[in-house]
Amino acid sequence: MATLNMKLSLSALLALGLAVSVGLPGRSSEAETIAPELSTALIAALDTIEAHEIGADVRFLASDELAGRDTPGRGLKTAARYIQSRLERLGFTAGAGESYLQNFALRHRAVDLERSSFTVTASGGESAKLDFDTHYLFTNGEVWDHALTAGVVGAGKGERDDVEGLDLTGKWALCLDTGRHAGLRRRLLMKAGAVGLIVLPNLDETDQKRMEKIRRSAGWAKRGSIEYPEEDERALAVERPADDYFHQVYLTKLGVERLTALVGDAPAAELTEPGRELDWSATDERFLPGEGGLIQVENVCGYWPGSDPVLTNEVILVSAHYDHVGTRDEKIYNGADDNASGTSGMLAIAEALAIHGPLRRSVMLIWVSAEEKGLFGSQAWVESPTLPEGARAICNVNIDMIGRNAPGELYITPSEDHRKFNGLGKLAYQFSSLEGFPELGDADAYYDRSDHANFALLDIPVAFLFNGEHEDYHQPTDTYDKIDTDKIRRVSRLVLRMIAALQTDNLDL
Amino acid sequence: MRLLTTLPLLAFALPIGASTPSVVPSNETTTAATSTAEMERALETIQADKIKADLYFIASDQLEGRDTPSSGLRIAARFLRARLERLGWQPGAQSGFLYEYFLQEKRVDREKTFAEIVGADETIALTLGTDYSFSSRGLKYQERFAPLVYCGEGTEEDLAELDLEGKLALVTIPSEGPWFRAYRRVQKANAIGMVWVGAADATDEPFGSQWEGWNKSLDNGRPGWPATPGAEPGFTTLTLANARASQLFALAGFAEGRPEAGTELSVSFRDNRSVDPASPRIALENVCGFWPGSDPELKNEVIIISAHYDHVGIEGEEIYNGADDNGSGTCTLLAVAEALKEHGPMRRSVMLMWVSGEEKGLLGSKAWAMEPWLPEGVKAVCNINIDMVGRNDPGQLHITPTDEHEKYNGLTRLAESLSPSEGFAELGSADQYYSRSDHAMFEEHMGLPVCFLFSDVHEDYHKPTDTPDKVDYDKVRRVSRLVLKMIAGLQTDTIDF
Repeated sequence: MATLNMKLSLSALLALGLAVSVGLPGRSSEAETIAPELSTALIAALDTIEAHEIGADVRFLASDELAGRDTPGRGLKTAARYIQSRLERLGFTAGAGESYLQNFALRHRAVDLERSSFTVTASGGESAKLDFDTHYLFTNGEVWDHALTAGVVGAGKGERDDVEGLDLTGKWALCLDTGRHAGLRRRLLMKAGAVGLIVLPNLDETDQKRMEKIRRSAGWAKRGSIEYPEEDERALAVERPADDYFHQVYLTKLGVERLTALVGDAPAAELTEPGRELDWSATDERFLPGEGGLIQVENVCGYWPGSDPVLTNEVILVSAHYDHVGTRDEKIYNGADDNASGTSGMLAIAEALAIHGPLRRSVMLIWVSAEEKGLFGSQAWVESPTLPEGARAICNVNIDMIGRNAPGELYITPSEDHRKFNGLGKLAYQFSSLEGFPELGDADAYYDRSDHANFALLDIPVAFLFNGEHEDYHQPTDTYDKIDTDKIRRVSRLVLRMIAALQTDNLDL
Repeated sequence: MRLLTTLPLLAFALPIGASTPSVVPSNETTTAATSTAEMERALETIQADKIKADLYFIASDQLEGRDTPSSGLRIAARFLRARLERLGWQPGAQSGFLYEYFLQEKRVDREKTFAEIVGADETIALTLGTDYSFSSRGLKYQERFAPLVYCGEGTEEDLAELDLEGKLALVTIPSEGPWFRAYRRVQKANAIGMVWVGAADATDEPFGSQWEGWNKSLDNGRPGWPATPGAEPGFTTLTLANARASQLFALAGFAEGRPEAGTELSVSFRDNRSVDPASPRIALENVCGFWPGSDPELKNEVIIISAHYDHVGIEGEEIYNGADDNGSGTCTLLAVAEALKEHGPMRRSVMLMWVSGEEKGLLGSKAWAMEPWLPEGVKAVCNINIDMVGRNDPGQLHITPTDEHEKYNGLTRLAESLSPSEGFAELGSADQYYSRSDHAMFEEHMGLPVCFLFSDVHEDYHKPTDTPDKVDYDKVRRVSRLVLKMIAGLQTDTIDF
């Protein structure tokens, strides 16, 4: 489950959590909870779904060795390989053309530490190459593919009095930090024609809190963020007009040491004297990883073709994201509930389908990635559905976090109260009590926060099953040992029952 | 399958090419020991497609060649554990499915590691890495000072009736044939160690292609048994650079031409080695699954089926996927696990053991064999080891010990009687590989009857090209069935090994 959009305030978040917990228990369903007569095949299929098998999968996916399955990362790729291997064993058809893996492009906006550097060249030609993070910093908002070489001119503290009347055209401004008014400083310097800013730390005056903020932002720059590239950006590095880039470089104490070792030790006040042209130049090279930061990420797709010559073209999509948020500050976020639980539930459903044999309609199981970055995997699938020729998606059941909280606690969205409530949801209400969920709570507050929201863009009915948040949500403590594998088993059975009920000639969704 | 230490690849291609299957087919009936309905069902679960799916995971680039130690290896261990858990196997180690053992990534302490050629009036100091070198494998603390006996090329003739007790053997690397025969003969002649030199007219440095690798791993560390100062180092070898070898012979009075084999030289040799005390300790894992028997008595006897799941990792940018070595054996055991689950208990218990550290010197099997963990009251009765069974001709399968080997036992007879039913008309001899995979440790440290199934090396052996697309999955399927049939054949009241 993805975090809320950052723009939402904390209080809104709290209010939301409150609303949800107050909303419990969910309203009772008016639909009948009569067990339909089950075929032997379906009974056999339901019986193959076993808690200990699910537990083994969760344990693997949530092991430290997969490092929290961040997008992108080796742990995520390993998880994809694990899922693929299972689909192969079970005899599923590759669900993305020739392959089980649907590749799509994302932009990893991070500093490529290997290639990025800040180099100061003295008048004699000798130079010092500085390392990001150790010797210099820049903020998260300035992670680009761009290089700048220019001479350096002192600009005091970059305040109005210092900059007024200076011509900094095509130059780096060198300023002593004040810890204040960075935005104003930037505007003044740009107006004076500067193309970049080198900030010397002022150990007396610099607000240490602000330096910490820059250091934190630089930390984000190092780790990077993941963006969904616009269609025309997917093959190329982003080209932006050169004046879009104003390079701001913050030297650290160690960076200043490297600088003075090269150009001599002069008092900072002297160096930054407004208008003073220094006899050295500086080159700032910033690179994103790979080709403009474009990375390839995978959804895993397994296809279970239907047996009915006509209805086989109607495809039920079942989805769960298999990524999580990775490792931060050396703490592994194992994401056992979020969403090794749903990932493993779908593996159990795959096995059950293999035991059952074909249904009349087809089923596409989609394990999506980059959910935690902004539902990007499902977005990529929706933009390029991997359906066989002539087939179309008719609905989506999405499972995300189904292994925690009270055994009988399960939420759904769109619920009966949601304007998008549909026939799929009705089936969930109808069968849930058979699997130990006497009442379904409403997860309407989460309607936009998992992948079904993207599948709904295909104009198909969706249903999202979810066990509610908990204290370990997006914490390193979301671990395997806390998982209720029997609950995952029952949710998986519920989904299988829903799929099985979607085999009538006509569907009223 | 472990690469022989310091073995130049060409040198051992020779004996393999020369070997031909030599075992006479068994005249005994080739019917499977049991053919119950359970057994038929169990055999049916062993399918090439499933083995393929498993092997494509084990040999995927994501596992980065499963080096010991590495995160790829740990991922593989967790994959195996997940399967055992899914199949409902019982944990085969004290605290779960993972048997932990500890190694040290030993680095050399260059300050305390040096050698000297000590003559009556002159001592020549030698620097590690330029004047002499040795493999990082089995690095130990050592203070050795001993007289040198020249042993020619270490042929049988050269060493005839020599007792080298307390001496260091000085041996010219044989111009023909594999060097390791000389190595073994010198060991047999009771030498405490050996010094290799190149031929008198050699232009290339002896084992020259390996010096860089030795040097690197002496500094970077190589996993091995934790070393303790003062412990008896045992037999160790080193290699002298050509220039130093000439000096040595000159100092001994043989400036022109080398002495006769068997000549005790007037010079001694000092070989001191020390391990960097900061070398980190590391935890490694064998994956162990236990399948309890049904017979009240015989269930206390356990058949150990083993395969190593490690390989040699990454070199530069190249991943050594180790699909055949030993993804094939690893997945054979997975297939057997599933088949046994389908079958239900046999009379005796079965332990499936995936060992690590094999490529680094049979470390995982040795660790377990020296300190085995079995459920209370259970004892091991034999070991069948599977390593590299997915390549070469579909009908080609080798076994050791054969009837020509001193350790020949009933397991080989059993395998020979069953193998034709799985498309291996005759089993070739793998006797020359007897000491090169994990069964050797189960025999050496536990005295178990062992047998080793192996379909021979090939051009991709220990290369980045040992990839899953080249594996013959039907062959792995048939080997898995053979192993299951062997297990079933070991369920009689008494076993005649």
